[in-house]
Amino acid sequence: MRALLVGCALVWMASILGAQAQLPQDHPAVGVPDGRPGASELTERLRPSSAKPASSAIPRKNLIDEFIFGKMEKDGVPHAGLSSDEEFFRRIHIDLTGRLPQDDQLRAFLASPDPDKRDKLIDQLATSRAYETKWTYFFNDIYRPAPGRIGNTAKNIFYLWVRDNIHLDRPYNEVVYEMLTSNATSNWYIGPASYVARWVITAVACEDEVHEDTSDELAIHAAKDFLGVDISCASCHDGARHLEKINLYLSQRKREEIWKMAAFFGRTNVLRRTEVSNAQDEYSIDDNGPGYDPSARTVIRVPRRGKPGLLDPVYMFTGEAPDPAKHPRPEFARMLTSDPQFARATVNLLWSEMFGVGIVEPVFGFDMARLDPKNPPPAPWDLQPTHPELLEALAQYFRENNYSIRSLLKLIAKSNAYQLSSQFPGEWKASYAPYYARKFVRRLKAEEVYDSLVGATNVFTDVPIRGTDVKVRYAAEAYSPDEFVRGVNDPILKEIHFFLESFGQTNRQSSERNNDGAITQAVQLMNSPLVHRQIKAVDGSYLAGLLKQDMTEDEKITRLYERFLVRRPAPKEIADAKDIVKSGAGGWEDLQWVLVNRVEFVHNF
Amino acid sequence: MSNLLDTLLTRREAFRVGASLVSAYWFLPLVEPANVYAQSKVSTRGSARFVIFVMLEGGQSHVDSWDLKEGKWTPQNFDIREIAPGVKWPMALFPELAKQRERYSLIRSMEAWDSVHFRAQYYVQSGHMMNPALQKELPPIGTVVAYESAARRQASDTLPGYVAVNVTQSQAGLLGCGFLPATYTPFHIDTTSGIGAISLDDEGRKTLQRRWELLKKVDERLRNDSSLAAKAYRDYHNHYEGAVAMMSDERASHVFQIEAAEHDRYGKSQVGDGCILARNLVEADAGTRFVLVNHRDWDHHNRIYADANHYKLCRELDTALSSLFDDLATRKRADGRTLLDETMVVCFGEFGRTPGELSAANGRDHYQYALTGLFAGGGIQGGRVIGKTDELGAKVIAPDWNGKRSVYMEDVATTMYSALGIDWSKVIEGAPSGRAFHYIEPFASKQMIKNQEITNLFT
Repeated sequence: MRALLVGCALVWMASILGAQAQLPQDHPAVGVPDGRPGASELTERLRPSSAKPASSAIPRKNLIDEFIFGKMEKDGVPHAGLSSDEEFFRRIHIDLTGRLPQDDQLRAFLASPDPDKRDKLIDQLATSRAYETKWTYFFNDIYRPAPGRIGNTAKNIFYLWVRDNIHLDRPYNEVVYEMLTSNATSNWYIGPASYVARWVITAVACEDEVHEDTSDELAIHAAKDFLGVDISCASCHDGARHLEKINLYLSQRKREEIWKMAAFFGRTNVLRRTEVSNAQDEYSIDDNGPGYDPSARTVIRVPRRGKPGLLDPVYMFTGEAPDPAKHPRPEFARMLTSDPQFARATVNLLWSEMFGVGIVEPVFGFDMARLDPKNPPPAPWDLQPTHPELLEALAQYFRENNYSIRSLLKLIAKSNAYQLSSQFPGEWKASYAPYYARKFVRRLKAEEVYDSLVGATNVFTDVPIRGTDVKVRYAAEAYSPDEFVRGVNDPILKEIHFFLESFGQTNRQSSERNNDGAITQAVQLMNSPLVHRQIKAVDGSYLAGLLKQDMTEDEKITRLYERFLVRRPAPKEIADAKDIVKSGAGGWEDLQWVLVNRVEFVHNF
Repeated sequence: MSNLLDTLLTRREAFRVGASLVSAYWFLPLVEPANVYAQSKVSTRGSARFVIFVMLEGGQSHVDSWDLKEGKWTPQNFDIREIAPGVKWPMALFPELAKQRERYSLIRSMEAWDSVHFRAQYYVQSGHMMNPALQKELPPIGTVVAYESAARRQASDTLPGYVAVNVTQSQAGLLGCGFLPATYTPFHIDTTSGIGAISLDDEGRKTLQRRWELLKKVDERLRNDSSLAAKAYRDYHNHYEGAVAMMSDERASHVFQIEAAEHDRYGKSQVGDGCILARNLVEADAGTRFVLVNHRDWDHHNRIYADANHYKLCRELDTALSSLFDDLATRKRADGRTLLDETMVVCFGEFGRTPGELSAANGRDHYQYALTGLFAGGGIQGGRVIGKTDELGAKVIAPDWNGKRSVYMEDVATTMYSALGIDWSKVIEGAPSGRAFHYIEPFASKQMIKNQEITNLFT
C-alpha cells in the first residue's frame, strides 16, 4: 500500500572535502552536517598554527597510512598526534562494536606493556558477539527490512540471515549476489528473499499492473545500496536540465538507461500470497514475469512514455547486455558484484562508518564521472574522492581478501590514520578536514546512546522480539526498530522508543537516520523517567554493587568514571565528585546523572 | 543540520542575557542569514498569533463526516439532520460541533495532490510536494513559523516555537527542521510516553537546577570551548541551555500537564490530550506559535462503519475540538480578545476517502479529489460552508472562493502565513543542495496554479 519513492541523492557539499579550496569561500555548498568539523571559513581568522609539522614520526603501518600521511606530508598539512590508550580504547569499542567496554578491561589494557596490544584488541573485538550485533544493525539500516512491508516472520528470518553472514564473514559479493537473485515460494522461509520482497510496489487491484514500478525500485535500490550510485532522479526524467550542478555522470544519463537497468528485473514477479493485503504480507518471488514495458503505467512516478514492447536489459555502467541464454536477474547480480564500483562503494561505506566521513560523500552519491585521477572531470568540477588512489587501493584490497568485511574493518582500525587523536594541537582549520588530520568527533547514534546508558548502569529492560521468544537488552540487538513500537502497550518500551526517536533513529521506512541535535535530547537525558530509572542504585545495578564494595571514595569515583567515560578522572574531577557524593546515596545518583549528561558521554572521538 | 546558518551562531557571547535562568539559546538565530529576499510585495493579514493544526492521519472520510453524502451505504444510526440550509449533519458522530457552527467554517472544495500516505502527509506538514531532491533540507511549515517568530520572542519566552504532538509514528514521520537551524526543529511530544520529562514540580525544578549547576561546573571545559574543533560539543550544549530554560520555567509544569478532569472532558483520547496541550501552549504565550496535533488511525480501508473505526474517531474529534473551541473562545487576554480571536485552528486529513459504495473490504480507500477542511479562529468567520462537491462527493463542482478552483495545501499554508503576518513570498537562497527555498512555491506541484490566500474565510 505504501509506495516508496526513494530520494535521489541529495548531493550537498559534494565538493567540499575534495575541494582543496576550489569552491569560493562563501559558496553556499560549503556547509557540513552536524558533528563534523564545521565550515569555518566565514568566521575564522587565520592564525599561525602551532600544530605538529606534517612529517612527524608516526609510523605508517599499512597502505592507508601511506596514502593519508603521504598526502599530508606532500601538502604540508599538520595533523594530530596518536590517540592515547584511553582515547583509543573507548573509540574502538564504539566504532567496532557499538557499545562501551566494561571497566576491568580498561585497566588491563592500560597496564599492558605489549606493543601490539592495540592490534590484538582489534582482532579480539572483530570476532566478538557485539561486533556482529553492531554490523548486522548497520547493514539492516541499508537493506531496510521493515515489518510494515514484509511482516514479522520475514523480518526475523532476514535478520538472522544477515547476522549469520556477519558472523561467518561471508564474502560480501556472495551475500549480495544471493540477495539479488533470491527466489522463494515464500519470503517467510527464505531469508535473503526479503531484500527483493521489501521493495514491491502494489496497486490497489493487483501488483502485476505495476510490475514495472517494482522493477524500477529493485534496480534503484541495488544501484544505491551496493554501488553507491543513486539513480532514482533519472528514473523520472533525463539527467539533462536537472542534475548539471549535482552530479556530472547522472546529468548525462537518460531515463531510458534506467529503464534498461530495471529491465533486468522485468521478469521478476513479487506476488502477494494473500488475497487481501494486511500487515503480515507474505510474498513469492519468481522470474516468470512478462518483461519490462517502458510504456506501462506507473503509480509512483512521472508517466513512462517509452515505446510499447519489451526492453532488453543493459547494465548502464558498462553497457553490457546479459547472456541471452541466462536469466537476466543473475546476470545483473554477476555484473554488479564484479563491477569495480561495488568494491569501491562498499569500502567507502565502511570507511565512512569508522572515520565518520567517507572518502566520497555522500556515500550513496557517487559521481562516476569524477573518480579517476587519470581522467579528471572538466572545470569547475573536481575529483570527488578526497583520496582517489587510496579508494582504489582499498577496493583492490577488499577484492583480494575475498570481499571480507572483517578484514577491511581490521585494516582500517589498525592504521595509525584511524588511531589519530581527536585533539588537535594548535588551531584546527576546516581545510584540514579532507586530509583526515584528526579523528572527527561525532555524536553517538541513537542506539549507541541508549546502549551506553544501559550498559554503563547495568540496568536493562528486556525487549521482546516480535514473532519470536527472544528477548534482547541492547537497542542494537533489536531485529527491527519496530520492536519498540508496533502494537506495543508497554509504557517502558514506549519510553525507550521515544528516547531513541529523539536521538534520530531511523524506522527503516519513512525516516532517515538523523544525528542532529535537538532540545528533546537534552530533556530526555536530564529528566526522562527512563534516565531517572537508569541512574538509581537499584539491586543489580552497577552503582549498587559498587557502593557495597570495600573501597575508598576516590576509588569508587574512579571506577564510575572508567565505567561511564572509559577513562580515569583528573584530580579536579575527583575532587568535584567528592563534593557531589557528600550527600549520601542521592549524591551518587547525582554523580551518575552528571556523568550521563556530560558532553563526552554521547560523543565518539 | 548544521550549515551555513549555524556557523554564524557561535557568537553566543554577543547575546548573553545576564546570569538569569533565561537562556540565550532562543536568540541565537536572530542573526539574519544571507540571501533572504521577498519575491513581491505582499500584505499579510496579521490576524492571528498562533496556529493549531489538527491533522487527521490516514485521511478522514469526507462523505461520512463534514461533506455528508447519503446513499444505500449510509448507516441508519448516523442520525442525520439538516442543521442549516443545505447542511446535512451526522449528529451521532459530531453532536457537539453541530452546536458550535458559528465558531468554525468548512471548506468542502479541497483536494490533495497525492494519495499515498507518506507523500500526502509530507505535503500537509510542509506545504510542499515531496521532492526527493529537496526532501532532506526542506523545513516544514511549523519550522518556518518558528523561524519567522524568533524576532518576536520575549526575553522571558522559554517554549519552542514549533511543538508537535503524537506525530512521529505517522507514515511520513515528523519532519525535522531541514536546513534551518535546529532551534526550530519541532519539539515533539508523545502524550502516551514523553510528557513526564518536561513537566516538573517545584521539587523537580530544584533538583534540576542543582544538578545543572553541578554539570556545568564539572563539564566546563568542553561546553565552553569556543574553538572550531569543539563545535559539535558547543551545539550540543546550546540545546541543553534551551532545555534547562524551558524546564526551569514554572509555566512548563502547567503547560505540559494533562489533568485527569481535563483528560476526561476532552474525551479521554490522544487527540483530546493533544488539544489540551495545544490550548495550554497558546494560553501560556511563552514562545510557541505553531502546534501540530496528530489524530491517528483514520485510514479506514476495512469495515469503516465498525464502531471502533469511523464512529470512535469522529466522536473523539468532536469532543476534542468542541472542548478546545469552548476553552479558546472563553479565555481572554488582558486586552479582552479571546484566545480564539488570535489562534487559527485548522483541521483536516491528508486526503479524503473513496465516495459512493463501500469497497470489497467494507471500507473506503484513499481519495485525493475531494476532502473537507475545518477552519476557525484568528480572524476566520464562522458559520460558513464554502464549496460543493457532486452528489457522491467525488468531484469538486463549486470551489466558491477567491481562487476559483479547488483548494490545496499550498493555499492553506499561504493563509496560515498571512494570518500570522509572515511574508509568504519569501525565498531563502543557498539551501545545501544549492537551490532556493520558497516558503510557498509560486506554482503548485502538478499544475501551474498560482497559490494564494483563502480570503473568503475572513471577509
